[in-house]
Amino acid sequence: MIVANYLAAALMFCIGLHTAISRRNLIKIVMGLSLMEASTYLLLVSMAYRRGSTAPVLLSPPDGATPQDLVHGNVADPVLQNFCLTAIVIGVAVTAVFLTVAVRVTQHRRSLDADDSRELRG
Amino acid sequence: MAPTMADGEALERARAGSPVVEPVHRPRLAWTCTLAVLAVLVFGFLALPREGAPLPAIARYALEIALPQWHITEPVNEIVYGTRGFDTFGETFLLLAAVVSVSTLARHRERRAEFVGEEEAGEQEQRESDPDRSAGSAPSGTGDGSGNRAGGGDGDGGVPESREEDEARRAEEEEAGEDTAGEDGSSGMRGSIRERYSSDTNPLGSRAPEHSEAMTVVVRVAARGAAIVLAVTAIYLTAHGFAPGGGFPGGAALAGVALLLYAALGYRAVRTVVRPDVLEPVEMVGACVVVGLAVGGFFWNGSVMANWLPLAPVRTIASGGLVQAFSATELLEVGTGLTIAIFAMLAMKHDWTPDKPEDQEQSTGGSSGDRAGGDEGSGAERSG
Repeated sequence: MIVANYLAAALMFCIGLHTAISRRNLIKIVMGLSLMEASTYLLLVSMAYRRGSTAPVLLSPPDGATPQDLVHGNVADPVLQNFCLTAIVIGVAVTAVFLTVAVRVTQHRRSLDADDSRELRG
Repeated sequence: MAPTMADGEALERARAGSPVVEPVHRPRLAWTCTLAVLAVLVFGFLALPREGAPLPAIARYALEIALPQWHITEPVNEIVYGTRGFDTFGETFLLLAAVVSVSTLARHRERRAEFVGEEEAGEQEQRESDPDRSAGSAPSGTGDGSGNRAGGGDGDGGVPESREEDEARRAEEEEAGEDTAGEDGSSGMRGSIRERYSSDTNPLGSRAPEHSEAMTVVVRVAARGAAIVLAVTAIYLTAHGFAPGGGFPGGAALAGVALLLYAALGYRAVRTVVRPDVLEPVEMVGACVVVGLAVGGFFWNGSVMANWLPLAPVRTIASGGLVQAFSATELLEVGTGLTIAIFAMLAMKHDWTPDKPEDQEQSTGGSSGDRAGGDEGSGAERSG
């Protein structure tokens, strides 16, 4: 029932989206965006899963098996795990920039409310 | 002003224990967008391959070449730093760009007089936004005041006088800045705070943790022990690239060591290492090594990020060739990058924006009193 993970990822993405749209607190907007990022990690790792599979590690094959058996056997998808790793690093980097901008905006406006920053409006 | 008042009220209510209800803005738009996106996502995700699907050909290929081509028993590492090394190459520089952005945005206000023309351009803007401030130099100029500086000493007697005034004011400001932000002043103040608010002298459970520089002796001892374990784990994760791990988790753990020691022991404990002039060169050397690894593959093995380092026997530390070198470099890149970003954010001061008039009246203006009349636009002047 990996579909449950897919649906949870979709739901998580939408919770983040709803937060980003409906809140004006900059920190909450950043939290919403982080939640949307995190939902992609869940989706990627869930897509890598195969029923009854082992981790894609050729290090210590079970008794009587060779690494080549593992290669052609039932393992999880390593490429999607790689994507997840990439996504995590990018998520951290982007969140750091968001938060820094949020702090600067707050210092400049003396307010966390996005509605107080109206220069770019229109 | 209204927003701070509202925040204050919210804070009061939160302290009193009653829940703070935050209004939901644009509910109709939010729900429409969210439900539409949810529908699209669910529709799409239901069509994704499930747990019974065969592995894609590219995954099988990556598994197949891991041992023969790279001598590495960990296909994920092989993909991250080997087969899809170019992807990770881009990711490294995305992280670097983010770190540069954070440290640029978080930097302290700095004086810039070195760039050609910037000061003149700034003066013009300053005169528009803050007439009081530039009153000293305005009368001396004939018409366009910005020509004064460019023309040098050929003006009437007013010009050097105004320049002197300007420099005196500048020196004054610098002194004032050093008093508040300088190394001596802050450390002296910190020393006295340290004596008064050491967490060791307070009874356990008493409220004033935010004043003390270091945590209690229990936390300090535990943090020292945990930091060693964490640092060894970080290096182990990276060094044993043939087992799950790699430079990214290793680097994150390494940044965690710095943060743990900072939280438990205070900035003094990490000051020798966690400072921009130590971390930034390391980060840049790491970036250069990544470029070197990529370009080396181009020259010696035909394509960017191709393996051009000797492959050690399977299940040894150097077994992956380029994979391991790249992974170790990522340890440096991620470790220093995250540390720079986190500490840049922690060290952010509010010195891009002048204080509000009401704030300044309370704190007595002195030399800064003439700025009290400045409007919002003078923020540009302070930052420039």
